[in-house]
Amino acid sequence: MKLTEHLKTGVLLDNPVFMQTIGLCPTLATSTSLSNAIGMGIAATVVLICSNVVISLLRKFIPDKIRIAAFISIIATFVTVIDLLLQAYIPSLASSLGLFLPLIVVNCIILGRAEAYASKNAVLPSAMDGLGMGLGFTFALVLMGIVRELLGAGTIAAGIIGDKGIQIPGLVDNPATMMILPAGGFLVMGFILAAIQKIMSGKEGK
Amino acid sequence: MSEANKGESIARLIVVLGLITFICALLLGFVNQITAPLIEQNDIDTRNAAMEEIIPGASFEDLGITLSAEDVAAAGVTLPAGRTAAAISGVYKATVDGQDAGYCVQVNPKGFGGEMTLIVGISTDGTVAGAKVTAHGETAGLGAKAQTDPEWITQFAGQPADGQLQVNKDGGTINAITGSTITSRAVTDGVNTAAAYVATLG
Amino acid sequence: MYDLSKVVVTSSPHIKAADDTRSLMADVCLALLPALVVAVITFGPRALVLTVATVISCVFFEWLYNKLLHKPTSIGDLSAVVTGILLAFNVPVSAPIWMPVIGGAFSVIIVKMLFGGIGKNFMNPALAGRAFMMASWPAFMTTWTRPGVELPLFGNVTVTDAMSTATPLAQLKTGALPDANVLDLFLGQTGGVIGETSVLALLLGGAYLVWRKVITINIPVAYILTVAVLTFLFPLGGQGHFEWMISQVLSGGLMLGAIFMATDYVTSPVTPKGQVIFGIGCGLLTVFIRYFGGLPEGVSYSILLMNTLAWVIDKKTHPRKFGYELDKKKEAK
Repeated sequence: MKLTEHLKTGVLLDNPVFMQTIGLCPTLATSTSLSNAIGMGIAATVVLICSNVVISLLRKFIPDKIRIAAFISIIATFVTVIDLLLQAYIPSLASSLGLFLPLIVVNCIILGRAEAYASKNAVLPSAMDGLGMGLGFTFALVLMGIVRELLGAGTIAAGIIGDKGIQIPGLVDNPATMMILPAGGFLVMGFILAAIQKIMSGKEGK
Repeated sequence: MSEANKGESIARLIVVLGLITFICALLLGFVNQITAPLIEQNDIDTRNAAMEEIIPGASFEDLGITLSAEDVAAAGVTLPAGRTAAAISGVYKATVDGQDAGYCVQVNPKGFGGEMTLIVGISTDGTVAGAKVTAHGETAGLGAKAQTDPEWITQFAGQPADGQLQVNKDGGTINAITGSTITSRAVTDGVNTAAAYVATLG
Repeated sequence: MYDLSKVVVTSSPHIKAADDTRSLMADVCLALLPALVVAVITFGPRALVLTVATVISCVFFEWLYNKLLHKPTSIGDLSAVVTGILLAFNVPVSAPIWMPVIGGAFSVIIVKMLFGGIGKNFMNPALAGRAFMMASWPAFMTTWTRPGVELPLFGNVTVTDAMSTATPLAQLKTGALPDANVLDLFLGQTGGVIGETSVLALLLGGAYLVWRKVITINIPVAYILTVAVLTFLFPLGGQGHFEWMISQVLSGGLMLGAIFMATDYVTSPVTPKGQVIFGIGCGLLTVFIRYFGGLPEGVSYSILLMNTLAWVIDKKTHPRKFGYELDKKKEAK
């Protein structure tokens, strides 16, 4: 497979969040704003690429029986490294992602790709698979983050375009706070899933 | 992984996993070496910025005090009925132009989403100089307003530093953040702890 | 030969078909009228404006949903009108008018129509709409003006300290008896959301519904009795058993919830036994939330929680066909 195909698979056809519906906990928790979504998405993508590459390199070396333990050790190491680096160099992002940054360890997308792809494929395709899936995860977070930030805080891209982002007049004073609470996350998720199913079924029908 | 019958003796499993974790540990140690001083510096910067905001123009002397919540209570800090003292993770004596200007205390009350970190300034005239939340795990849009809403936290400035502040729901003078009574109580606890502890310093 | 194992035999009551939803809903609207009249007398004409705006919103969004999805229009069954009135009844009179309008859109589109329209929603739309507004705009949902304060008809309200008041429930929460006396509570001369304050008007409406056989008394009686017994047995703050119980029963949204919300056909059990269990469950949860929860009132969340259990209560309390269950048990052995 070529890089473009990996990207197409990861972002659209086999999107980890919208198609495989895995990794939902971090998706719901960190998609409260665009800046959080991008930060989380990039952090997870970096971890995913690194862990996929290393696991693919070691795939002949790691015995079957201890593969999960080995994978988790490798993934946890990368997550901790990213966490420390963020705390050191981008402390504001690290504090707003809070607990969910270390929790990338248990994001099932990463272990899932290690088990399903990297442990069976060569290094280069594994890296591209990591990139594709990571971008797919980021795409899902960004989509939800934009909607939730807009409705739940009344801003667009706060923290990216200036400190306060683009403020929507009227909405910013009395935003529907529920949208950035977990309940709102489930709602937005449901609507996006429904829309995607509708589009996909329309395509298949024709 | 498909070749199931490559040498899978226990010894091999131990060696391989041991090797992997060893390399992981090395890498982590290395990264930690580089980042630890930076992270500490970030914390110090955040704290200094907060303290500068609360007592402007002061220089601070770290008294090197760290106390658990139990130690604080044992030191004679009592809060309004039903509330418990918070842990203290730093006490800083403020001086402006050689004059005593009170204290800044870093406290860690328990909020809705775990421990919060806030800096509380206590003036020499027995009032609260101000407070600022520097780290927290409160709910975005609700409890997080303790940090993000610039208005809310300012109501602590000028309150009597008698350690007896309460939120309005409990009959006190502090306006709780709507829908976030637990966070509001936690911040109030933090301010009270700082005030009552500074009082014991004399 | 018929394969009888594939035929599900149940005894009555069968899942009822709403033979004439429109006339039932018209009765409910009529029953809500006394409470609306009292609300207008207590809180001024703004209460009426809010209610009308919410009703229009609910009906409009149901119509729009059907229109956009090319479905037959269903607004003729008046259920959206009932949702609108009940939703408006859950809002303080000082709330900005856009708020229940958006709440109405949420109730009708997300809670009701997306699940398939009337009869298929698993939660009471008005209560879910209230929960949505509570999570989104807690400040507007918990600001109470004292009865008789003049408010602008349409504009936004800035509630000053002089206008605001504590609800009886907020006072009960601290273990004190409310300032309002029993007569005030009964007639509705207290702070609160538009439709909850007057016990008298709500009881009148309830009596009408029972007389018209629109609702049975199972749920309201089980609900209110549970609250009464629990609060009588365990008064807080050293108050007298009886005074405490009376204040608890007459305060807050208990009457509105027990009579008009918990009895919603779609989201409550159909069997009499199930209805009693449902009512008791609502009562227990209400008292638990009032005593131990963060908020002073627990009626809406109690009913919403029990809504999600209605199907299982129905399943467990369905009368069994004579001899049928026994046969099944034998087979299992």
